[in-house]
Amino acid sequence: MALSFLSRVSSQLCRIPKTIESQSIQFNKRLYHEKVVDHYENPRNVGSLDKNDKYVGTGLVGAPACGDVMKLQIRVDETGKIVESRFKTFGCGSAIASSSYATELIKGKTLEQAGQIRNREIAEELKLPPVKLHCSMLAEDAIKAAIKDLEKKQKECK
Amino acid sequence: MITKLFCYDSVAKRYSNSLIRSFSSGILQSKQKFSTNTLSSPQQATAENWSEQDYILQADKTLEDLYDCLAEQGYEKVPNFDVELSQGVLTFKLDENRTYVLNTQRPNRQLWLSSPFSGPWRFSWNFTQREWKSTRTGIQLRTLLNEELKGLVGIHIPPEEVS
Repeated sequence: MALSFLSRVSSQLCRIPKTIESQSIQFNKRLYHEKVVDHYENPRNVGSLDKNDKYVGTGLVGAPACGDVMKLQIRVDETGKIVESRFKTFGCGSAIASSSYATELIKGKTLEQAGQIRNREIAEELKLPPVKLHCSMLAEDAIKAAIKDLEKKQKECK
Repeated sequence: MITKLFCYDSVAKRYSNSLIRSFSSGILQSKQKFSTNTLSSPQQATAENWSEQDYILQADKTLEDLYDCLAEQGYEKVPNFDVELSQGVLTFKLDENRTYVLNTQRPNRQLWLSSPFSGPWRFSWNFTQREWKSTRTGIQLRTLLNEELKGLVGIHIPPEEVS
């Protein structure tokens, strides 16, 4: 209940800049798109998988100093299809939304299909502004890193 | 010792312990395993051997040169053009929906570009060629900008002046 109250308040606060702008005051609008807010408030697939599991690939990209770190994990079945994905992200709302959306995108795909996901797809879906395109690239890198980790594990097992 | 424990404890309170451990071990692993957009290639300058002061000098010089070049040509050639340089961020618009952002990224001594056509790029300074080169494809910053802008709107970005 407290959370829903807070989210209502925050959505009200987001409307305040429009009122100020209508009074002819120059205001630099930097509001998150509603899809980003949705992923921030209702992130999909948050959590961890066992990184020692031979069917789990872990991608860890970014650096705390730069402001964004993403950990994205995938679990595949025997056929190589991604059946589960989890993420944990330290960063801005756009970074969280990008990695959350990425975990949704890759589910049900083969490793090859998941490797073909491009940052543009994530950025267009979330309507990321120019300065946040880097978050979508990091999410693409995280997917690729997880796939590479899994492929290395599978090679070592053979 | 106690001070150190206190510092680590306060950090742990902000982030979960497992996340910190996985970050530090993971980042080491990622440097060894593969090269991504987030890392410089071994042939280029690294954050360790280039002082922040020198990096800022070079980055600011590049941003100012680009600002001058864009301001000179942009307003004549592009109807709704606007360019701004402030606090290490160069922003220029071809129109309402096509905005470029080029900003400094101090922690890893890079320039980060966001292009409305080709997306995000990261550039590291190459000491041999005296240019900013993409960590992904190796293309030079000015070459990329020139390719995109000259074809579209006729703005010419000359190569970096070697000083």
